[in-house]
Amino acid sequence: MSELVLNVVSVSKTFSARRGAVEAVKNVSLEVNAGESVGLVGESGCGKSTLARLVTRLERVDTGDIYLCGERISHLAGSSLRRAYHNVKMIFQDPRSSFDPRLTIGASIREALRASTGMTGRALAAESVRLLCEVGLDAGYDKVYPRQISGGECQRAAIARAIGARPRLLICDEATSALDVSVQAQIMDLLRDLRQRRDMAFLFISHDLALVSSFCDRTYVMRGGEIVESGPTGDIITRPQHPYTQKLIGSILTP
Amino acid sequence: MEHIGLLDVHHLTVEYPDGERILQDVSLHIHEGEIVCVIGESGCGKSTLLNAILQMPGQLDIVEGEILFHGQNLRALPREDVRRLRGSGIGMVFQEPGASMDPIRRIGSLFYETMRAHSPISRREALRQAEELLRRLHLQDARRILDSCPVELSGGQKQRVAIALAMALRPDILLADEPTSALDVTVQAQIVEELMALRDEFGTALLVVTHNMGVVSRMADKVAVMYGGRIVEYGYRKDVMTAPAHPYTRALMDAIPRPDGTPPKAVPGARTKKEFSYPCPFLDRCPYVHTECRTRKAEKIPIHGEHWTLCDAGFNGGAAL
Repeated sequence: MSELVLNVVSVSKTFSARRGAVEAVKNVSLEVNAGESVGLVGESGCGKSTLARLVTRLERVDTGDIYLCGERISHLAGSSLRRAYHNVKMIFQDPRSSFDPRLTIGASIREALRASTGMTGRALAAESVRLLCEVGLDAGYDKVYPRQISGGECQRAAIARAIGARPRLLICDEATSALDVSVQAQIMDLLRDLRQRRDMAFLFISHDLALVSSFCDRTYVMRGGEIVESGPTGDIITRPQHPYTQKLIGSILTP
Repeated sequence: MEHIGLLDVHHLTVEYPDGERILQDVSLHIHEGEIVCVIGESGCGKSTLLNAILQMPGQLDIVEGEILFHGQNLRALPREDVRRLRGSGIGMVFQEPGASMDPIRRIGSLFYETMRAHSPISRREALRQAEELLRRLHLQDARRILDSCPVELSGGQKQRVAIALAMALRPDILLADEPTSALDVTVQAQIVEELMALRDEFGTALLVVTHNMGVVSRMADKVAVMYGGRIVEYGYRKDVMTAPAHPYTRALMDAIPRPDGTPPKAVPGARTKKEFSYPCPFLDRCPYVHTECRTRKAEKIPIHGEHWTLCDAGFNGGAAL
């Protein structure tokens, strides 16, 4: 049996709102094996981003457990939490808002690198340039600011910053949804390339089933905070069982 | 320059006030009840085309060309007449349906104000017409929606209200800028059906700007593919989509993710601002580029019927995708 990078066990999360509680995630279990690419699809408000925020500990679970590389992280705190979290990194739909506008791309990458690897000085500078090259940006991008580059370039930079910590799991939350199709295809090429080159698993969150089908081994379909269907991506696309999955697939507007 | 259709754009060239060119020699003819989709990536000039047609004041300089609506040159009309045409002759729907609505004003008031701005009407009559319109567009609960504020509606409901609002003035043509891009997939499919129903119900022509090839394949009669401020390929949907001739159209088709799991193929290189001034805007990224591309301005090459392209390099004459 292969090693589990991520194991989400019966996790629930409720937000309290003025009009009563919102159960964003209901008793969700999900697994990602080492090196595996797992899709998580659903529409706005289905809870997929909340789940990602629970895994990266931007939010805390109400009930249930989250294991990252075998370690139960949902209840860790302090320095052990920070150490465990170098194993998971996340990229977002709008990369520009994840960069400090006053720092150059290089400075942002170095800051993250310093925090995760403890590198300093020349080694740090060299590694940040190497990371830029790995994602297809030349050394010149080290000195530019987020506002000076395109959305696709900024997403590449965000990926460079994320992989600097050598995470075992990269969560992509609608990472290409804001990009043009041809730029989206470039970013997908890069992700596919990284997957081959590095020992890294993916949790690929998207509303685009067609995109998921080209990248993910297995897929979970989420609706109203619950996983309604999961299985090998090919089966989900060709033989969807749950009516909601069938509806989702029926809505794909194919050229 | 003869009057051919409902909306005729002739050789339109548009610049920003600082002299930066955004549209180059764009011609487009839309007949009554026809659905034309303009496809292309961000920055290719497709939204500018809509703004230029609407003669939105202040932001754009039309350097050359004509825009004829029912044969009437919009550029020669007094500003007040153009303003009146906007909405009543040429309707608009945008990507963010909420952005054009006051979030805390009731939908009913929105209809009343829109209709009153174009002809005298009582509030009661406006609401009656609005309700009927919402019903004809199959919105459940028309009365409740008229009584709601935009903040209380979902994105899909807001877009459907925006479409109904545009239709309240019975325009002959509706311009829609990325009408489905901000919506969930299941809602996208609904909105596409809805827009198509407008033609059946009211005979409205549609000019839809989108980057979603799926939307195009579902609804377009004709397709204009834009790149670098120019229309690089044009024709009936079937011709353009099954036998794309321009290297850019083919690259774009390959970049679309398909549900069968084929990985999307990236278009090499990246868009630049310089492209707008090239003889062929795509030459920096084109796998078929040769020396002549840099010296000779790309001209229309007819393929068959109304299908034409600015370049047919590597085109084998119509093999299916």
